[in-house]
Amino acid sequence: MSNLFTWITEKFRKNTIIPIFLIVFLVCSFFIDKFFSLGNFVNILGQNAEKGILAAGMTFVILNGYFDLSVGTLMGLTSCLTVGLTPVIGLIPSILLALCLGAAVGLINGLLVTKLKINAFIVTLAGMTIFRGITYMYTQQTVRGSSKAFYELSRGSFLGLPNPVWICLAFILLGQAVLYFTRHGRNTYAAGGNMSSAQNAGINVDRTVILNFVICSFCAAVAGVMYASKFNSASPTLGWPDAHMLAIAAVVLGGTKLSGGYGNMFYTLGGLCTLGMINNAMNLLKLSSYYNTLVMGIILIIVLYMDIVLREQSVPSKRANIPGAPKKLQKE
Amino acid sequence: MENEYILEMRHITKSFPGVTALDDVDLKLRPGEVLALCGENGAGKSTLMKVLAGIYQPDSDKGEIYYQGQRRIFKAPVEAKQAGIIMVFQELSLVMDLSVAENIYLGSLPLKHGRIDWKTLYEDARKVLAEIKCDVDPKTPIGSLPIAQRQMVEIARGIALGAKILILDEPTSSLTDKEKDVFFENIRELKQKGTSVIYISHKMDEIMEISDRAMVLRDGKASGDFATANTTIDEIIQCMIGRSISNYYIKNKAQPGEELLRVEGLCREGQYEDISFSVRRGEIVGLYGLVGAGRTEIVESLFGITRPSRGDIYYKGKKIQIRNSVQAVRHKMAFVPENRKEQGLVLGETCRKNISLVKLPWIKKGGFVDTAKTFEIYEEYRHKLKINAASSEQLTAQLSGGNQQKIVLGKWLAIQPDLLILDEPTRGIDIGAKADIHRFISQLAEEGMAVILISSEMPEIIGVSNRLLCIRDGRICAQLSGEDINEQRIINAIMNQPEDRSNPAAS
Repeated sequence: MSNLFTWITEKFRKNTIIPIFLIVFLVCSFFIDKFFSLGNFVNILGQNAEKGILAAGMTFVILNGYFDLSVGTLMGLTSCLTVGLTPVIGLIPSILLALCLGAAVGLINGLLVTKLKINAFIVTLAGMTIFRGITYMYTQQTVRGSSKAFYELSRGSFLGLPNPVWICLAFILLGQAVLYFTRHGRNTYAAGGNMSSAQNAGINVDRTVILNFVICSFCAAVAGVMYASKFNSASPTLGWPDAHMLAIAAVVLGGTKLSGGYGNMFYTLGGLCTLGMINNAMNLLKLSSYYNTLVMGIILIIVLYMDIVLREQSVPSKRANIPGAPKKLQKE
Repeated sequence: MENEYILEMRHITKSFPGVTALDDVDLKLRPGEVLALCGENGAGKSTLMKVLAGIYQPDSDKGEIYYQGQRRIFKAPVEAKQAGIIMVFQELSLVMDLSVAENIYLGSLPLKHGRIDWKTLYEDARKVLAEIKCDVDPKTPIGSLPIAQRQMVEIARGIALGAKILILDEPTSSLTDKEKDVFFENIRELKQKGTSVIYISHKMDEIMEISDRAMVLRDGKASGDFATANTTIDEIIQCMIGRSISNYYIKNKAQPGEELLRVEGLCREGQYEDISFSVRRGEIVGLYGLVGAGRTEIVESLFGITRPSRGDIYYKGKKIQIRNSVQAVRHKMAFVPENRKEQGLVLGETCRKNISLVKLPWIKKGGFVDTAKTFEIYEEYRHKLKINAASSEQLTAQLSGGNQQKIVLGKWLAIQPDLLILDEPTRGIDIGAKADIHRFISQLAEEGMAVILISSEMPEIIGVSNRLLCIRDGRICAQLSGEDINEQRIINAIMNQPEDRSNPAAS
């Protein structure tokens, strides 16, 4: 019994998102009417599928030690382009165009960060305002969709779950496979954990960083296309002002270190679901959306603080092991 | 002939602005040999090894490196590494969140059908670890291991990469005695397999125990080469010192006045322990010890940058607590830090603004900075310290190291401190500016200032201090004064003293 207990605490300590998730889940289930129902759970998943894809892409960049602020407005831009161009060049070509645009943006971000050595914060902040600008140049109002089939795609469901949720899960599983089973994935961890060590070990760090920015922006484009399908329309305000922050929050709340090198896709999934539950709870309580952003802000601060604590724990003090240090550290 | 040595470094010279770190050094290494590299702080040991590992390039075309009989030029660390020259740094270069196995095979993870082959990875890692008798699960994250075992993993990585030459820089500094034995056992085994080891250490007993040959560096020159079996510790130490102290050091002759600062039983966990000493007006007290012995940490606590966990500080006869550097400045303490570029100067600002920075609270005029005063301060100390700058508006980034340091010094003198703390005040500056600074320090003491001087340069600390505290592993291990301040005494105190560490709890 005590073994089981230590096993559980060990799991919790390593995967902080599990207790966080459970606490939020239990509190909401007990105190909020209508929260605990299968329908509501499916609803939560459905509402967060697109955000999940954003967060999945963001996970790669954060594991690499960077972050990408441009994903929100890029999502808005690709969404508008998908819907707007469908009557002109057809559905499939416009989707492909949006996805290619996403990948190209990631390539540019990555090149600016690695080759010109511009701070990733500046690069992606600039990207954020640039894409918003382009979106408004393209359209100032909501664009109406014209393809019914496209709309139906998101409306459909499989085994009780909406299609977008399946797409999101596929991305998360695929992402985890890439992180765990490919050289690129492992290089991402190495470069994010200790860039100079990675470089010295002969890892092409620049290529790793660029590829991760491409993955991240591509995911943003996918999310944009999915929103286009879901709403059968696209608004230039999509993803503004805080989609990128929510994606980062989901990743870091999950337990991935903001400084890079530690974390995985399942953490992100946990973080995403937790944020989704909180959001849903506030909707059920009929709190205004302003409270929503307030709470998200507070959560972000707590999460960043946790990141600092986590980092301190994982690096034992340099002299922890010299004679005279506390005994427990010296056991072999 | 060409098989006798695996490595020959010839005529290696390396200079940095203002200093010649290595001057025409030769080094030879046989396969399966353990070569100890000895020398004081700053004798050029690390620089020589960094040249070998491809981190630095030797200066002229004269410097040559012959490796396995061929002339090689290592332009980057990766090239040396691929050739089999592996350097294990004091600060380990591991990725903390990755597993032991991944760290060993970083950059060359095994693939099967395009996927990472975790099974093979763990098996291979286990084999390599078993080879050096390191009992660690390859799946554990490196960050959760004690430093000693991390060091083992670094070595395992060297073996996995097929190291022909392993460079170990102070590898035992964080090991317990028991771990050290295992570690030496590993080195002997590597030797058996024909791997050469270059072993940098300050610990004489270790050098005698493990090495076949000891090479001594002094002031960037090779000054001796001994077969360890046929030599004694004293002989090696003599060779490390073996230099006359130049005469330009003028001891200050002031009669020490009243006691200004007294420290009793100062402790800070993991940094220093039980530090007690006093400093009187007109006295220069030197702190000498190896890098990392805790010298800087002690003075940082005096200046309120860190807080001691126990102990008392008496200043001007009163017990005081200094919580931050602002309070220290109010008490008229001054601290010239170790690293002038990062801690001492605002590099992007002018000489005048830098030199008046600490004085600012005192030179207000109607709530604003009195600009005229800042010019006055600059002129005063430019003159006193012989600062050689184009104008008061030159950026400090453009000055030479010596002049930069004089700006830092002037900045503190401007507040007329009672206690002046100097941490490596002449590191990396040219000989002329050094002499200026030494003379000035002595002069200040004669005027009644109390000075604490930290230096890694033996001649400097001997030449300038009236009293000397030797620091070893965070404790004061000897107090010397007057005639007792000489190299023999200091080296004995710092290096040769029998280890009296209590046996660690591991047993």
